[in-house]
Amino acid sequence: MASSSIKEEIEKANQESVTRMMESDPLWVDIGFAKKVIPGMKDYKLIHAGPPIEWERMSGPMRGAIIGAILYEKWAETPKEAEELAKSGKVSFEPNHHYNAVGPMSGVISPTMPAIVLKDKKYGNQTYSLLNEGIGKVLRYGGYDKEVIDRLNWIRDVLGPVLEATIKEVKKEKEGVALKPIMSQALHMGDECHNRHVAATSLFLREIIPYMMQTRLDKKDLIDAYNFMNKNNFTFLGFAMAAAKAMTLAAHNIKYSTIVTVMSRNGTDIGIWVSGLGNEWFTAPAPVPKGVWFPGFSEKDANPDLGDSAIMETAGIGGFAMAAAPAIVAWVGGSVSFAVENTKKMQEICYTKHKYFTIPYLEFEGTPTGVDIRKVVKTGITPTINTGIAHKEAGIGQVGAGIVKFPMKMFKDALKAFAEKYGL
Amino acid sequence: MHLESIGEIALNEITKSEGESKLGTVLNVFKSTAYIKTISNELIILTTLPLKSPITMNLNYRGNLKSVLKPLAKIKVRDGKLQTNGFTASLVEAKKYVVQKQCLNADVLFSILEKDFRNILSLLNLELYNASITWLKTYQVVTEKFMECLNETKKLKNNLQNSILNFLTKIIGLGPGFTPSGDDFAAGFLFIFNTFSPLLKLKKIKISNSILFSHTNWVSGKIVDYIQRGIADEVLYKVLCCLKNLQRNSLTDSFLDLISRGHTTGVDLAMGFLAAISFLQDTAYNSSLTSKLILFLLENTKQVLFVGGDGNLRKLPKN
Repeated sequence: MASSSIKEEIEKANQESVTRMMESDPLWVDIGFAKKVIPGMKDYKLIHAGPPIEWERMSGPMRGAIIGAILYEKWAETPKEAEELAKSGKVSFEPNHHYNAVGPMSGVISPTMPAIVLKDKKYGNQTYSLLNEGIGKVLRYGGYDKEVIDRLNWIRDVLGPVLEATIKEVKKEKEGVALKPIMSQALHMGDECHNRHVAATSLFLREIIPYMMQTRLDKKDLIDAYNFMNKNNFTFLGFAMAAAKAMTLAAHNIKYSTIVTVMSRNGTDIGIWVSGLGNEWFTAPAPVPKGVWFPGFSEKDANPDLGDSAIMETAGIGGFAMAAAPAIVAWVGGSVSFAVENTKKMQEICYTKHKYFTIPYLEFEGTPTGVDIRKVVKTGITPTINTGIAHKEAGIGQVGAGIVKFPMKMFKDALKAFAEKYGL
Repeated sequence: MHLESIGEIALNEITKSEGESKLGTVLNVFKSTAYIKTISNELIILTTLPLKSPITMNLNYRGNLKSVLKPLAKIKVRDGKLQTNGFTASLVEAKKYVVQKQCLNADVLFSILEKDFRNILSLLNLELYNASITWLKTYQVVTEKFMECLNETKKLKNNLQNSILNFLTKIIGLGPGFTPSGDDFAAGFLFIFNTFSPLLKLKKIKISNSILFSHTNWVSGKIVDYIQRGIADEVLYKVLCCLKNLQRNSLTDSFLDLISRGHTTGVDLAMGFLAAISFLQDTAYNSSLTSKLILFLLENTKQVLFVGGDGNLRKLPKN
């Protein structure tokens, strides 16, 4: 193929990728045990955030979450036994993204955790995520003590069934709960939809409460479920992440496309997928975020970045939409001017501006959407995302929140692979 | 504000200027880089970027240099500080940057696999997705002159240097950019050619200063002059080392580092590198890399252009 026509093919493919990303219409349609709703999920399999990794190379918080998940599943009685089992090879580990699933921080999903199911009304894909446990000492940050497991048990026994009954009520009236309008509205109410979900959580609850009330479940359970979700500003995170996964999945596997469709970290490595290069991981060592620390903690406690939550930036929100969320800087650090500057800077590496996600402060300009590996390599600017920060040791949990800049290496590697695959 | 590192030549200029009323004059200031002409007619690049070279001073400053430095400002060194009106940068913490010169002394000619050459061209192709009309027009001329040069060198085997010098002279000052594309191409070509040509018993080529400074601006002319004498920055040295040591994987990486520089400077330097590499390899091993490069240049410069109704050259509109 002549070189100029390759450029035309890339142009067409990228246009198609970002159009599909923006036109994707994810609905929350179901919730159930992961092994029932996620195809391929089964006992003694744990799926996790980021690129593939074996136990020996896992970071502290990832190991902590694996230990916690094994205890939760009752495959072992004690943390020591859980660790032995994890080392033994009897439990298999695979990335969430291989299952169209996403999870924040360690992102560990085990067979009997309630998994949210989303369906892309436009393109038909299904994506999955987890219910949020709150902040602090939680499984996703590597916590695994009794408090953590008790909360997970309650989520399985109470919150999950409440939401399952709720979505059944929703589906008596409509196909599911549309999430893109909630995210779009939340951006106009001060969220950036990665590390700030205050508005989105409220909007989501406003949407589902009438259906929750129709479920005729035990009143105490309903009140407990409502209070748990209402007190947790990250309730919407799992739904938003699964929605972003649906959007980026719609943009994936477009021949010739140079648009990034996955950015994810496992606490040891950071990795990306590029639409035109399929499910090939391009990885680099995960960087340590710069952040605002919880009392008693500092940068020396921090683990390198982890989580599938950079799917938000991959879909054009989160750190890319920081200008929409000036209040976020109190949580992740920086200044309001930095937030605005970051959004503008990310535009330099993105293919387009979002059609539906807009920022009032920037005259309702669309958020930067569709990271183009060519632009990243050309400008030397890499994606900057908002993130939570986990303690580097297993069992401690979240120690702060901050901002992390992705390394250039994986974008260069991806561009080289692209040149090799589609080159002259 | 302080300097983090100083290249050998820049440091030498600073040492020489001690006791003088000035080190030199600021000629041009951009957001992250300023160019200084010293009293002994050398060029010093003052930059907030991390890229190091023998003529570079790397400044630890995150702001816009335009807000602290003005063109034509006299710059001096006093009490261990670089000074001009409203600008002071300490030299005390600066580390001396020394070039690892072993790569400049090549003892074996590279032999690049055609597959690697093609991959590098593919990366260039990806980089050129948004090339301007001016750039494309420039490369139409460069391609034409390069082809003429190749034809001439085939006929005049004993006078290769003159043909090449003639070709490069014609493109100095040609094209867009503060350092015109033609200058960058010529610099890239001569950096490679002059390093490896002795292995083929070919003399080094030098574009004279009289040509350089009459065909292009002083800063760009100085940069071409340094590079043709083997004085370059660390990214250029990295490509050279990878070539010399035949490090296949690192070679593509090093080209990627080079290509992504500036608006078109990196691409232009890389084009010059590839032209010299293909020329030397074809001369030594009778391979056909130059024809591949020419084909690439023709495809990239002609197919996307057409002559409009008004007779002007235009880029084909995107669908």
